[in-house]
Amino acid sequence: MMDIEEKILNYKKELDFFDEPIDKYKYLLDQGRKSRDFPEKYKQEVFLVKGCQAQVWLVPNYNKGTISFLGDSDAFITKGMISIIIDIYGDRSPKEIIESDFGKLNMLGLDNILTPSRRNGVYSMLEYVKNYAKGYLEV
Amino acid sequence: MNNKFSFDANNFRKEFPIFNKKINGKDLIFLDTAASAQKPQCVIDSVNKCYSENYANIHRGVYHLSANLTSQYERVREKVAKFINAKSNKEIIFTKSATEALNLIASCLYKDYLKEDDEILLTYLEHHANIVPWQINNIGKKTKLVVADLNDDTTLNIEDLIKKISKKTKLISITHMSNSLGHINDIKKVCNEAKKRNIPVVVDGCQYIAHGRVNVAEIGCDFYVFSGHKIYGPSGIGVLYGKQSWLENLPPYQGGGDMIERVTFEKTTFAELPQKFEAGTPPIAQVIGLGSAIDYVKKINVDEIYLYQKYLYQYAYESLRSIPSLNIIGHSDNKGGILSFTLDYAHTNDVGVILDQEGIAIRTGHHCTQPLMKKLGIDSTARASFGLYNTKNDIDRLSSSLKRMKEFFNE
Repeated sequence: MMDIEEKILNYKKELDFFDEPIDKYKYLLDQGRKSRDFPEKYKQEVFLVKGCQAQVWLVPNYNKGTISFLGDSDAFITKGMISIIIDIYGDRSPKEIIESDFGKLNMLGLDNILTPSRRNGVYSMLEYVKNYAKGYLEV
Repeated sequence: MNNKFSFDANNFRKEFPIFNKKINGKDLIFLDTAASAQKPQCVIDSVNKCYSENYANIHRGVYHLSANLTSQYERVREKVAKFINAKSNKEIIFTKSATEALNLIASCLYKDYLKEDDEILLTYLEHHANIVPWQINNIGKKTKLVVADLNDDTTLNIEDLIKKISKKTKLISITHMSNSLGHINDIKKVCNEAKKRNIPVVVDGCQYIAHGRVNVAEIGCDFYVFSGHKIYGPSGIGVLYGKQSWLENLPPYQGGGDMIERVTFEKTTFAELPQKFEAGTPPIAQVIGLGSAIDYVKKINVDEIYLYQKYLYQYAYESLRSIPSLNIIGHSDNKGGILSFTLDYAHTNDVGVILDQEGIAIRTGHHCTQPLMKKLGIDSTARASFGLYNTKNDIDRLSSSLKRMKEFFNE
């Protein structure tokens, strides 16, 4: 299995393939469409990522030392980004997540999506990923 | 619809240096003036000049720079008073924002005026800045917020507002123009009804100040607030107009420099108006910039700007209304240059991100009006708003991008 940085580099390679920024967004839409179904029962307040313009849900699952995530959003581009982030950080130990350099995500060149001021939920979701990992580290 | 409008927006646009900038390689189409207007060169120059040629702290300085800037600062107060037809300069208080002005009023009215079980009448169209100050200052008094309803077309239901005025109503606080939907409220009628019952009225004029001529004497309100950045001035400057009788009787808002007459450890007496409400070093350069912005809009002709923005709204409404799966939220005959919409096939956030790729800046979200959004049964809108520098071409670009957008999301 690729480590976190390798995964990011892999996505970077795919995104670099597109010359036009608009095609990168189309790629995100496709990622969102391909992502795992998100059960309606999880669309609860407790799983909402706060501080987002769009609604974003993130559900962690801890099993035998690894965390996986399910995520969804009512905004399609945000959903695509979430599915990428879940793929990058999912199925890993809390320690691996915490020790990773979150700044490496900037390599994806999707700065205006990842900037906190855009308030589209992705930045907030990263904070939740970190915090869930920290929480399970102490389990 | 009259397509021949003599307003020369293309020419005015040249006075705003931001439009020399490319966004994502494209010409900037700025449709977010309702959040904050761009600044003409003369405003930028006036702020620069203040810092580079004239700067010193104002009031009480005996030397040339301080005395000179103090008189410039006070001349802006006079300019603002004339701009909104206040009776006296003493009725104009500078704050850091309109939000601060509303917080000032709420804080001061709660100290002495508002009592247990009093009712404050608001509307569903209010910005959070005209809701939250009434809540957070409501400590131990249990005042109640009563909310006037909307008509089916999302405009304010004035009859409902009047119906909701009760013996307990001690204040009406209402927006002059909805920042989310653009509806202009009949403030004069509200003030007339309030006056009959001796109830003071606070008017949030943040949006309207850039969409219509304000005459506080004619409106008959007790307080009127607006911010400088919405009328092409700097951010960091708000204006509170208050009737002199109110301002004289209210307790001070904050303590500090400039608002005092005499300080001892035993007792402090306060300065006369307007300094009584301007504690600390005020936003000096921002006030100077506001003065320049007022000169600028007056030079162009305030009424023509307002008419032009209404015209742009009508043009945008006609352009966007036939786009499939696009829902215009809140069309009415009496609106300023604000058009809110949603799309059936994408979230407003998606719309904003994709338009940005084309250099088109709109605002998406709840626009700090969550109770309104809830009332309308939506989470957010995409909002295009217009200023004096926008053209029909800007709206054509928006319209053509929105026409292509469905394809993007459905492919």
